[in-house]
Order: sequence, then structure tokens, then C-alpha cells
Amino acid sequence: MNSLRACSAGAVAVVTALVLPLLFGFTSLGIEVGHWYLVQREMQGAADAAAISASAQYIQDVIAGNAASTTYQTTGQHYASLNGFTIPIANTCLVTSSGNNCGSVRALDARPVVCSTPPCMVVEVTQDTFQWLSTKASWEPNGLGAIKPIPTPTLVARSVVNIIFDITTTPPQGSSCILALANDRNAIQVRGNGDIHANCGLLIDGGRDQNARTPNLNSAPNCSDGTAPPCGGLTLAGSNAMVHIRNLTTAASTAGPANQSCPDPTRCFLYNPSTTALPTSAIFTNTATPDPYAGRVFTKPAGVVVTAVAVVSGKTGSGYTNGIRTFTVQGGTGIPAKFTATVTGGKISSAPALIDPGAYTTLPTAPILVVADDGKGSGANVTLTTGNCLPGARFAALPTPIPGRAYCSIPVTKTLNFPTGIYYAEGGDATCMGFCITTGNIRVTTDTTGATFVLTNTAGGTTYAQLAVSGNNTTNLVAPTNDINADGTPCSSGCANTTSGMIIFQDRNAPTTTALSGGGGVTSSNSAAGSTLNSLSGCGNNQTCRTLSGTLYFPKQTLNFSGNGIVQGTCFGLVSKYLDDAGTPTFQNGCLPGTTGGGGSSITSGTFKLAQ
Amino acid sequence: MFRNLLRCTRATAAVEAAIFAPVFLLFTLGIGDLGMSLFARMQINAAAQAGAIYGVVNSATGSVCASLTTACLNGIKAVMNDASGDASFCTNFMCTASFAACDDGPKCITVTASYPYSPLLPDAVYSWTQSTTVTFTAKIRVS
Repeated sequence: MNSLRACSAGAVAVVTALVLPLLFGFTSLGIEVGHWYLVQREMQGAADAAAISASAQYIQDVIAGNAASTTYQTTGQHYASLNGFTIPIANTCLVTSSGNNCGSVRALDARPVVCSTPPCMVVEVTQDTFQWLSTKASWEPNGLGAIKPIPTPTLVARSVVNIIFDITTTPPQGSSCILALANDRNAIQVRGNGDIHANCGLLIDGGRDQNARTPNLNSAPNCSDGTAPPCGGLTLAGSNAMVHIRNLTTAASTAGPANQSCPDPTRCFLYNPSTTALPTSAIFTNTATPDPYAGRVFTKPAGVVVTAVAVVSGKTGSGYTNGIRTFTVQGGTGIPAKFTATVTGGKISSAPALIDPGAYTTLPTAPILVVADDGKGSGANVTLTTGNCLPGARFAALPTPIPGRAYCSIPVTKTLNFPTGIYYAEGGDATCMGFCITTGNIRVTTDTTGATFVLTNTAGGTTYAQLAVSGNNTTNLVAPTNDINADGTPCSSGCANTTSGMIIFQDRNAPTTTALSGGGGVTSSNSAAGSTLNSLSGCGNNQTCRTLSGTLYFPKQTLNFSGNGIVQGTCFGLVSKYLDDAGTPTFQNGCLPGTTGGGGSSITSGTFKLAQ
Repeated sequence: MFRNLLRCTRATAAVEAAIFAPVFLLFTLGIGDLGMSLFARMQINAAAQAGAIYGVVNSATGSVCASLTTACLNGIKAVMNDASGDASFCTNFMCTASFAACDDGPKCITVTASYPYSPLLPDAVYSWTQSTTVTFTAKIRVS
């Protein structure tokens, strides 16, 4: 026995036998812990991927007006799986300013969820290490002579993504492009294959701020569909009629007649994406939109205009410079008329051609003299034919439109530019119903400093001028930025005409459209005074033929749109009592002022950043 | 002679060490291989995740990764190099990235890193460390 103890043979084997299990054990533990760190790293990556993906889904839902959707949880689970980890659906949760659904996450991981600026998307990935074989086989001392399994921690990885919405606050101007004022369910009517594309909001008041019933808003009779006033609404007449818009605001309690208005997943869509149904969050009811132009005023030119000039026989003058000369009529009170004529041998040798009808409060009396543009010559006498306004046929003959004059109608039959100023169409006539651009292949423009066209009546007249724009022509009209005088000079205060932002202003005394039929026909408050239907059409393949930078204002009448085309401009607005659409217009750059602005803020996009 | 040799106790430690040294050596190298294998996995995981996150963060309209341009791909590879701790990671090994529609959304980014791992010892020695291409793919929905 003593010799056995003294023997040193096999000492290494004994030591090895004693140390090897310990060595294996610690090595195993080291590997195990290293593996934990690796898996922890992979879990964190999966959690980040899942949280970002879930955020993308949530942003999509919110933009679509479906903020209550919990689809993001499915998305989180799906992308955790794609990145290597299976998690329960409740491990994806959302923190908003009003609360969260992160109870399950907190139960798994006691760490606080850090979300300083909600909303935040939270994803928790967990892994129970006890399922790993090496962990099961790992032991640690447990007191003297005893061992126990080493702790088997549940690895956790959390990702918190801060979702940042790019919220575009709808300003008072810039988001709405159409305001209909009629207290009628079809204040805006889309019929046939009509489809209004509006990258802007549609507003309908009617009954709350204009055209209100008496004695109060909700007095009888009810609206045409039986609902209580106010009635103003959007009607989609026919199964093919639809809209693609940003939002819709009505003073009424509903957007329009049941089953003929928004929301409608088959006919009422967002402008973009155009296949997404207009969400209820983009429909604002019981929201008044006062007429933003109710305070605008216009003052017609006083007096009469010269409609024709003739040289008195034998009074052709002498000493005038030969050639085509411009003559100014002398005498009277007001703005003098002008004409051109050919001078031969010092005498006027041709019939005068009127170039400016003038505006007289007191007409000159015979003999009426004229002065040539170079001041030379004398002796010619003319006679004047006058009227309340210059007939359309005469206007068409003018080489250049003169602002501040009274025109019976303004028919544009050739490429023409309107210098800055105010143009008055009074009553319309056989040539044109008011302001007409119906000739193809011409270009109609205004100076870039803008012009305003007033559609009104002649003094005491019952008929009122109207708008008619059609054909494949290019129309580029710009409203004055500020108020101007009729002759185009700036007006700083006390202006007789408030023109800022206005392209077309129709007189509020014009006969009123009292009803719009499903076929587009209008009923007038004074049928003897003519139609109450104004028209604007696109021009087919020439998609951008209508550039209207300003507002078209028909507070009492109807505007009908037909055809196809984009109505664009830097700041477009349409205010009419009724809008009847049978075409497929696209309205852009809405610019109606007001307080509702299409319903306030809207979320246009969202981004995210990792927060935890 | 042989009996004397068996009875001799001189250099027994050297003999025993000679017997156990290969075992220890194999064990130690095996542990080293296992560690390097784990490190390789961690490297490619970090690289792929970093590349995907870069693509997501820079995917907005007007940003460098609004589409998979050369500049975008270069940016992704640069962050993958950083994340792997190897400035030539994407030069020496395979790094790929792509944008495509997801199965549940309009746009996903998929970034893959691959690393051909070879252990110090031949494959026949161990079962736990074998020559293999370690691959990790990160997939994230962008929108």
C-alpha cells in the first residue's frame, strides 16, 4: 500500500482523468455562452427586420385611413420568421400616444419600452436556450459534492422602431380646388362615364353658409333623398360615374345620396393611389365651407362704347401722313375711341377700323374731330355709332383686346393675348354667350401679370354673360396676383374691383340654376334670361391644354365639364353653384382659400428610425 | 531487456504526455475551429443585417437607395464591410442585394452575405466543424 502511494507512475493519467471533465465542462460552457451571443445577435437582427417591416405595414394602413388595423402584427411575425425566428403574433405591438398593446412583450421582457415620440413599433424575439442539447448537458456546482444544471436563460432581443409620419398640415389655401354651393344632393354631379380626378379636395356647402333654407338650416322640406337639410352633396349618377379625389368636405351630414356617393369602394377613390377607395377619414361631413369670395366686388364700366366709326363724306381731312394711321376721336367725356385708317394723299381714304371702343359718359358732339397718332394733319370728321357694349363680332375684329371696356361678348377666334386688366362681357349676344373660346388650333393667353374676365349684364339687361370653353385650343389664363384697376394698373386700396386670384367672375345677379337634372339639364330661376349653364371641356389628346392659374367663380350657376384633359395652373379653384361633370377632367394645384381646406391635416408619408 | 524497460520509471511523464498531447491538441484545435465557425456566422449575420438596414434607411424617394443603383450597392457593401470588421469582406466574399416586391407589400430589400468557411483540421476529424459556405440572408420590408 505504501509502495502504491509512493509510486509516481501514471501520475499524468490520474491528473488528466481528474482535470479532463472539468476542462470539458468549462470548454462546453464557453462554447455555450459564445453560442448565446451569436444567437442573441441574430435575434436582434430579426427583431429589427420585423419591427421595420411591421412599421411599413402600419404606415401603409394609416395612409389608407385604416389606423386601427392590426395587420402590422402579422407582418412582424412574418418577417421575424423570414429572418430565422418564430415569434407569437402578440410579440409585435404598437405604442401610440393614447396607449399600447404591449402587455405580452412586457411579460416576456421586463425592460421598459423606450418610445419617447410615439408611435413606435415594438418587436420582441425570444429563444429558450434549454432546448439546446449542450445547455441541457451543462452543469454547475451546487454546494458541496452536488451539481445542478446551469441556468438556462431565455434570450430576448427587442427592437423599437420610432415611426415618423410626414404630416402635411393642410393650409388654408392649396388643398381644395372645387367648391359647390348648391343646397342640393347633386351640387356636384358626376354622370355617365364621368370621372373627376382631383389632386385636391372637393368642398360642398349648400345650406349651411349659402343657399340656406329659411327659417333655419334644418327647416322643411327635406332634401331630395329624404335627409334633413343641409343637403349639399356629391351624386354619382350611374354605375360608371366615379371620382378620384384627395378628400371631400360637405356641410351636410352625409356626402350624398345613399348608394350614389362616397364612400363607395367601386366608384369613389383616392387620387393617389388611384385604386385605393377613398377612406372615410378623407370624408368630412357637417363641415361648413363659406364662400371665400362672397365679399368680392366688381364695377362695370360706366357709359357707352363706340361700336362703329364712319368718316363723314367730304370731310376726309388733309395733311395726314400717308399710310395706315391710328386716329383718336376727340371730344366728349370718358375714354376716347380709336380707329385705324389708310391715308392717301394726306386724306383718310379707307373705312375706319375700330381698335378701341372707348368708354364715354358724355359722347362727343358733331362735328367730331380726330387726331392722328403723329399729330399731323387735320380736318377729318367722323360719326360714331354707340351702344352699351361692343358686339362680339366687333370684338373679334379688334387687333388687340382693350381692358376696361364693355364688350357684349368676348369671342376668341384667333390666337390672342389679353393684356393685364379687367375684361367685361355684358349679356352675351348671338356671336357668343359671353366669354367663348371654341375655335380649334388657337392659343389664348393673358399677360403673366394676369387678367380677370367679368361675366355680367348690360345696364338694365336681363341676360348675363356665360363661359364656353371647348375645342382643341390651348388656353392659358392667369389671374392677377393683386387687385387691379380695370385698365390693368395696380390698385392698392378701396378698389372698385377685387381681382386678386380671380380669372372669371360671374355676376351674383345672374339668373340662378334652381335644379340640375340627372342628364345635365338646368332649370333657371329666370328662363327668359337664358341658360344658366356654363361649359368647360378638355381637349382630348392635348392633355395640358387648360392652364388656369386662378379661380373660376359662378356663384349662382352651373359649370359643366366634358371631355378629357388636365386643368392645371399654379393655383386653381372652381366655385360654382352646381358642377355637372360628364367628362374625365384632372384638376391639380387646388388653391381655394378658406378655413376648412379640405378637412385639415392629412398624412402623406411615413418613415422610421430605430429607437431601441 | 524488455522487462527492464517495462520496470523503468524514468521519463514516464514524457511518455504519458506523448500519449495525451495529440488528444489535447486535437481538442484544442477543434475548439478553435468551432470558435472560428461561430465568428464567421456572426460576421455574415452582422454584415447582412447592416446592409439591409442601410437599404431601408436610404430608400426614400430621392435617396441613394430609392432604387438599386451602383451607388446604392456600393453603399450597402461599404456598411457590410464595416459591420463584418473586414474592409475587404465584400471583395473577397459574396455580398448581394436586391429590391423586389414582397409577398405582402410593394417593396422589400434582400441582402445576402456568404462566407466559405474552412476549418483548420480536415473535415474527417470532427463532425462539428466542416468546410461549408456560411450564408445569411436578411429580408426587410421597405414600404
